[in-house]
Amino acid sequence: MRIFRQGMGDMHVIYVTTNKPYSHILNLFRQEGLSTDRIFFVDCISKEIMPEISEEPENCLFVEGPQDITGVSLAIHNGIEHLPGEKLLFFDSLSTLLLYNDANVVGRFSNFIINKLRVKGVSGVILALESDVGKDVLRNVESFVDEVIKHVV
Amino acid sequence: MLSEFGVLLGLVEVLVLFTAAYFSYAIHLHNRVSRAWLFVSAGLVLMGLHRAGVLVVGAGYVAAPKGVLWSVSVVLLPFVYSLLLALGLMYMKQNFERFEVLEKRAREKMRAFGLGRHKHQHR
Repeated sequence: MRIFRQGMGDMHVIYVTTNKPYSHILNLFRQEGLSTDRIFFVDCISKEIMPEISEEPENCLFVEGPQDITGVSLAIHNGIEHLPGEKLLFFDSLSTLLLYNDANVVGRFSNFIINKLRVKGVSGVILALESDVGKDVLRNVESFVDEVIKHVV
Repeated sequence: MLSEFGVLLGLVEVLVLFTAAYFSYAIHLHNRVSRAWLFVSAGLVLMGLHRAGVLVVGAGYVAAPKGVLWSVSVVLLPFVYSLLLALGLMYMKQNFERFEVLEKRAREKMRAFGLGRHKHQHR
């Protein structure tokens, strides 16, 4: 939330959530008094826990689940390609992807996303639990990114 | 009884089927969403086993199965692997259709959102 509290200016945000449903995040933003006007959500969990969910908010795209890496990639790709102006990808989190997918698949996905962001000049924030940091896949991601910030709650 | 060339060709055929099963499984590992590939892998393994059995009988190493075993080998086994292959390919087709729909939906929603048509319904 700290990142969003600082204000995003005119930037569009692609917020990928793999562990909290869109409705929950929306409540968190409301409680903090933060605007979601420029945030497009890619929700990978609502459909997983409520397969019957049919109504999709205008600023949200439901993906089948965190195991649907292809679906997540498609959503991010389209966000990067079709949202105008400056963009930020906020990805929460790689640790959840590792619960649902093979580490090699998550590694390839991370490389694809990070390189896509670089080529398109899009900023990115990728979250992961510190307990997963020793894992090969995250060490690999660490070597690709510009900065690793450790946050203690 | 099969000639030596026939046996050799049969062996290559079985080998090719198991290789195809391996590739199918490798594709599944590449993207776990495509569980459909597991059906195809299982179908190819069964087909390979069936063809190996036919080859062993054809080469005269063992006698042709009789009774229930004959029914299993000639009718049931080919039915099961045909079904697995058909189901696998059907699920794969559904996957591709789902990705196509998701891609279109994502594109349209992102464009609309970017154009500011989002009415801030959740304010």
